[in-house]
Amino acid sequence: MSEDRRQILGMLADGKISADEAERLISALGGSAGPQSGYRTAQIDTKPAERTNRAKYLRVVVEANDMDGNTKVNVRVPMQLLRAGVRLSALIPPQAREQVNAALARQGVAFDISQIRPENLEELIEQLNDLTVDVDNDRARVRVFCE
Amino acid sequence: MIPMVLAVRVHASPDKTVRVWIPLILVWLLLLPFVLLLAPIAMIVALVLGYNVWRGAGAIIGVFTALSGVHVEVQAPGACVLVHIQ
Repeated sequence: MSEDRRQILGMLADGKISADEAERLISALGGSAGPQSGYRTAQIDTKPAERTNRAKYLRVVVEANDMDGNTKVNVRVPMQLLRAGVRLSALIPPQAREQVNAALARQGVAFDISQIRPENLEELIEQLNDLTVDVDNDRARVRVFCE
Repeated sequence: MIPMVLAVRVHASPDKTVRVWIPLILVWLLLLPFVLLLAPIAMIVALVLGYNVWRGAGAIIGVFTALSGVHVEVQAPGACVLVHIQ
């Protein structure tokens, strides 16, 4: 392990930098690796680089023009909270699940919430990265996106 | 990491803005005895109902630790409210 990597890991252990920052610094170090280790470094650093591109927050921005004036709502929810929420949904009692499914069906949404499982979670969150909802009309503008 | 600070800003009128920083670590410390007291009862109830106790505890702790970074800001003609968990 090089001295630079050891230093970064030490800073991470001391809590001076976050895991993401450490990841970025280590992937930046990859470029300075020797020629013999070039292929191996590229292989190792591809994943962290991909991970840094992953969205961290779900943003909801609403701008509405009411009679009284403008109203702005800006909500930022960490993706980690969505993950935790989906895991928490596994604790919903079966009877309640049936009621939720029935209520969704009444609204025209044929969806079984018991199908949301932790093993499908990462795929679901990955798909959210590309999500952008933009609703624009003369009275309000709603944007839902990931960043 | 569990959230440590809750920042609240309420701007009700042009000359009145209230800013509050609540150190959540103190709130967690205050709640800890109650959690320790209620945990055995919750475990018994979960076992009776057939829930996986550890999975449930993990999910609840997961929600707490994931709260960091939540940001809610509402600007209306009458008031402006900001809540940020750090």
